Amino acid sequence: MRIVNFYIGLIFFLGAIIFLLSVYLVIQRYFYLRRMARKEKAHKKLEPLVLEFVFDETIAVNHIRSRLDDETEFLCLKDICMNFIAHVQGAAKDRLVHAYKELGLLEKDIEDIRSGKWWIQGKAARCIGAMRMAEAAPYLTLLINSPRVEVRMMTGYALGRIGDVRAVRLLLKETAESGKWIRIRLFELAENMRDKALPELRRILANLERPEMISLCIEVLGHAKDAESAPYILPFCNHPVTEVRTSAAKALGEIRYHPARETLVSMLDDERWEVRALASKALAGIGDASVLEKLAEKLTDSQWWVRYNAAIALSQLKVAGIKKLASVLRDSPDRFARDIARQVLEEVAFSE
Amino acid sequence: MLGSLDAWKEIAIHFVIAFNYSILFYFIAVNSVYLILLTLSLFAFVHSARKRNTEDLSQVLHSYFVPPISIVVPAYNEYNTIIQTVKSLSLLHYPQTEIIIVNDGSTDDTLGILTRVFSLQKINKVYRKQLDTAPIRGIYLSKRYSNLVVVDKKNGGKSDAMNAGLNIAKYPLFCAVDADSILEDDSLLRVIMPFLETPALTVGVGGSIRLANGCEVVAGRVKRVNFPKNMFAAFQNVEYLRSFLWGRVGWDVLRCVFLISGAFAVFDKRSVMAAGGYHTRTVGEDMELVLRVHRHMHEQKMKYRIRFVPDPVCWTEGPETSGQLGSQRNRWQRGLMESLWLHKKMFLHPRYGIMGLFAMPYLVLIEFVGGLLEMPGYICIILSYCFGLMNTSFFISFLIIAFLFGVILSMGAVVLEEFSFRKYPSVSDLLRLFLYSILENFGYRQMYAWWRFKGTIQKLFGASTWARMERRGFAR
Repeated sequence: MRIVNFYIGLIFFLGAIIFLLSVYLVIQRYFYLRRMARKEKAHKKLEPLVLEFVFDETIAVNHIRSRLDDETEFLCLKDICMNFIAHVQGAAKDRLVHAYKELGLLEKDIEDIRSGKWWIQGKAARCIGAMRMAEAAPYLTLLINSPRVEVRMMTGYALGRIGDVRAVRLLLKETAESGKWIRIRLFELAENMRDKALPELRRILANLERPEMISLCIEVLGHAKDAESAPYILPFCNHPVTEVRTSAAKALGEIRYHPARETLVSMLDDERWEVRALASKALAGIGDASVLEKLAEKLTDSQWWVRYNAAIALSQLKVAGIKKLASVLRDSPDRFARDIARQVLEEVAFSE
Repeated sequence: MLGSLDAWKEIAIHFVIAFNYSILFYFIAVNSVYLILLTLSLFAFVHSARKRNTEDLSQVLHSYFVPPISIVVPAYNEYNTIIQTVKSLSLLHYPQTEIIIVNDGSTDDTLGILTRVFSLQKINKVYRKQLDTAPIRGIYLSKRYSNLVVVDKKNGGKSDAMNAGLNIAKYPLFCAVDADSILEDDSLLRVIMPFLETPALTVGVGGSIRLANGCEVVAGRVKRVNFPKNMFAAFQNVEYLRSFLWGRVGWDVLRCVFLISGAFAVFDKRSVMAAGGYHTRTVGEDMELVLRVHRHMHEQKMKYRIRFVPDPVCWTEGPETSGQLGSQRNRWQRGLMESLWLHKKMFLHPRYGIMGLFAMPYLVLIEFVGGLLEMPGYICIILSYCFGLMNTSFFISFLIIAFLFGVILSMGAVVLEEFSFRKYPSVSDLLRLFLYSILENFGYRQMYAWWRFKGTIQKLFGASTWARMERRGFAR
């Protein structure tokens, strides 16, 4: 009898869970739909107002403020500003930022920074960064040492957007933990505040020890095509770590730094195929007739990527390179060299 | 004589009772694991919802540092869908991709239609045979889509076609996509996240698969998500939610994702090549590959992770008849058994970490043995009741509890769906999801158990066919 009671109890318990789950689902969906409807209504009401304000200088912020009815509309206003900021420029952008501040949205972000919840802090930093609110920099400083990597990354992003050079060091510090995100953020930062960030990166590069940080620094400088950085990068072509040498070769090619030609030619004989492949690629941008023979030699390399990049580099050295490829295809005793020459010549013909 | 009959009867009774106990233990074990996974995935969903506040997909989309991806699509007799697939893949939001279609010796005009529509031209591309494949007949480039490569080869099966695609792929990551699937626009951006967060560790990532049956598909895009009208598709829908929203998310938290669906998976090419590429003599090539990569990485003592992220979605057409569904499930069961047999060394071996000590025992004891136990279990329990070996209250209680537990687990998936993605916008769809999560316990689960049982038996007796599903196609 006791066992039967246990079964009945269990059945009732499970039944109650199902009942509660279904009630939860229905209620959740009801409130969700209601929330969405309110949001949609708020968007419909506020979007024209914000647009009107942004493009018409005669309208004051109070015009929007007076129309705000509740918290939902206030939060929608934030979404609207965040959506618009990427699509407006010049005076319109300044007015949108002004409205953001005046309507108390910045204050809300600062309040969120102090909230202690990492996901809210991260979002606040993102908003501040997107709006480039320089006055929020002291508050962002509070997040620099956040235990959450996501918050530190977003803080770096925000500081970079508002032109605070501390962002460079903060982001570099995250290299080990944040993978490629750091590259994305650091590169964005280098683009946004090129004049401040690139000299800072060059300074840092000279004193870095960790290979992954050196690689990252070189990659960003290379991708920024900063000619002034090339002399700082050049010594790293002889670095003992392969990744650093490949980054250096790649960066010098991207910058098209002609004085690096001899160094890159010597890197064609590097013991690691990754370095040889990237040195070949780099020479495509800065090479001339003097590197033809050396690149043609690499068509017989044991690694496919080296052969392919050397052939591509030759094809990019205009008529002389194409003629060289054709002669390899015709005369080379090496089957691999002939195959890769044929492929690249066909690709060139195809793309033309 | 009579005495010996009594003895046999007694042995049979003991056997049936023992079998009933094993069914009971199986039931408790399965549901305990499922409850653990459901709880873990709840936490994972809360965490990822919070994390989304600090991510910005547009930054990824426009970044130079996002790794380029080779999308490999094996195609066998895909005349009706291949054009739509290529067009849809070329519109994906991602900075740099190459699309590799591998025509696996189609007997219809798949290559012809590709050639005509995309102005293909044969070139003498060097074919680096890093993985063995059936002979290549030609490599074509498109004059209209600069990132489209078509490989024409002799028929060798899906795995062989994938290996040919990998030999041609030039980027460090590759994405395996079925020719009849539709990726959501931002799916590649989302699935790439683990590769951005931990590039040195991540070797594979899988996304969710959803059923496109009943959805409105226009120009290779799912325009409107509808709950399928077909009963079998509706049951599978609940099943997919359960499997992807809490099953794999839970396994991901435990760091032992043992399956990434072949319909949508992104892998680090170098790791897959090092592990030997796709196995060509199995019908469950997706699971086999994941297990092999796990095994290879452990044997090489390399740190790695294989991840599952639920938000990138791939839509695919599910079978709509019991025959097609049965043969699909039958194949899945055989694929599971083949994979387990090939990697039996990992079972309970501490060298393979949590994969060997937890995931493999789960696969063997619950997924494989479950396939053998479940169907006879249904029969045995009913017979035990009929022959008076089980009292009525226990019999009824067990059935009701099993049913209620099943419903709770399915509803857990529906709750997660409601909490996170809300792909089904209307209330009626939500109610239908709820309804089917109840109805699946009456007939569908038993049919599934039968298909698994049949697959297990067939595999044990040597069958290995890949029944082809008749596709209706998405084109409208």
